[in-house]
Amino acid sequence: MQNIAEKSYSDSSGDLLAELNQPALEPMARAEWLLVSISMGVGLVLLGGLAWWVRA
Amino acid sequence: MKKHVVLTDDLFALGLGLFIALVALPTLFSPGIQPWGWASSIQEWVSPAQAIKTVDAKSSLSAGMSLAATLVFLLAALMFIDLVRGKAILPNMSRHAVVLALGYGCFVLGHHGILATTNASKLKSFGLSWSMGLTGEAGYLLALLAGLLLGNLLPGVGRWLRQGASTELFIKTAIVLVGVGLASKTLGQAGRAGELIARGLAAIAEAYLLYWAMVYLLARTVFKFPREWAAPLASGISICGVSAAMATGSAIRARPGVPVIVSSLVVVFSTIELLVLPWFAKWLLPDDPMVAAAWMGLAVKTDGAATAAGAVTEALYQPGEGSLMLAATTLIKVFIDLFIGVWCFVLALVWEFAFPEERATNAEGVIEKVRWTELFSRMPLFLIGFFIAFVGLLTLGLNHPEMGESIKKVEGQTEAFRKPLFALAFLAIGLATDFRKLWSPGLGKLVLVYLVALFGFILWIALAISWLFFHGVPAVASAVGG
Repeated sequence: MQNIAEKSYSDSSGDLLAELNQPALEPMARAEWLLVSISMGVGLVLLGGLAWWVRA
Repeated sequence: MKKHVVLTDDLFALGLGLFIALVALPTLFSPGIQPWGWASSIQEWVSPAQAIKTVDAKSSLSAGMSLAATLVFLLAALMFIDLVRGKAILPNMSRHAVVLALGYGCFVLGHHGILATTNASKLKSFGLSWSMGLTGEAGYLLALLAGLLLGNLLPGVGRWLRQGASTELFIKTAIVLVGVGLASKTLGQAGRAGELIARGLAAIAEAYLLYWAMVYLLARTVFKFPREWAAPLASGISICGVSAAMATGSAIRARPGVPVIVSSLVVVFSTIELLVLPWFAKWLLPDDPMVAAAWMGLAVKTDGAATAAGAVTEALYQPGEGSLMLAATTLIKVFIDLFIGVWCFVLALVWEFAFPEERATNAEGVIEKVRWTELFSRMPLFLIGFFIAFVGLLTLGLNHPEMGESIKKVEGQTEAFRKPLFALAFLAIGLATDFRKLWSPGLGKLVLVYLVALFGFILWIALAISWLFFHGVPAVASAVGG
């Protein structure tokens, strides 16, 4: 698999955009799932708490 | 530290904004003295002689001289910035001069009674039977239209002007000065400070924790974007556009082209949002001006477009003297912006430890380490200026209520620069917006993610949260009471 380090110096707009037409080879890693889950969880709890505080 | 890291628009915006505010401060201690009293203040007009007045009515300067002096001051400031940056001063001088003249010209035209007047007695005194009632902020739209026309129909002229028009500098300097206005408007309603902070925190929770995660998930799982694209795209769409995308790109060590392409898309879409969303808000929420104002801060990306959308929304609702609408939009945007650095720091940590192989290599082929100092330097400095102005004047006003009138006079002086700086930012946004970008091959997939995220959930979650936190909040400071 070609990693980012190998393609660092071929980043004209055309080359970069062409990458987007090919699906990423890697599925979401565990760290990404954790980041997304924690973000949404904390966000919802914080929003709920603040909404309750402001509306109370 | 490298020179280009230090001399950012942020730094100059902080310097220029604080300079304008500091020069006005002697008024606090001697209300008869207005150091910016000679500056021009643009008024509604039907006869050109009515268009320009001096900030201090007692100033002996004529209207024409006042405008000329104001333009010369701003030109000198821009040339000084060029000098410090080591840029060629003389070639840029003509560009700056034309940009300033165009921006001020649009702002003055926008104050014509037909476009701006909202007051029935003023309409009568102008001899007008009707007006579009957009307030003087119609000048922002004229500046945006002028920029769009020049940038897209006369690309050569647009390119030439773009080099003398810094959106970031104009908008960030203006936002530092918004801090002065916000302090002045907030004084007398200190009991509401806690609620404002809660609402600001809600904006952060929404932008960072919900939007970002949802856009990232969409880009990675549905559209199969690589991580390197998904992170800057999520930041650009969900946080605050250009600066967030660039800072995220830096935090995860993406190739420079990635955040630049994302930023271009964000600017184009922000302009479209700016042209559509305020009117949609007015149609959808005719009796909820503060919900509409907060919605602009949460839904419209880029500082310039969001603040502009707030200003247009305020003009559409016409809440009257002491309106808090633009302040609400700005406060939300500022709260969101303030934590870009913190969020990028989190992303840098995750990428550093979870994906060490996904960082760009340097010229020697060695994988680059994330530089924490660089992340700190990306903390938006203009926001520090905003908070210095806001918290400083608010604290002073709360401890010395007798200074309330003087603080209003300080605000009056800084407003003479803030509003035209916004108009200049609109012009610069228009000049930088290339609608043809949307038709470039390969951008289709990016555009699709943007459309799905924006119309699929960002607009509606922002609307729901704005309603939850701002429904029933009065739009006019005086209506709130002390």
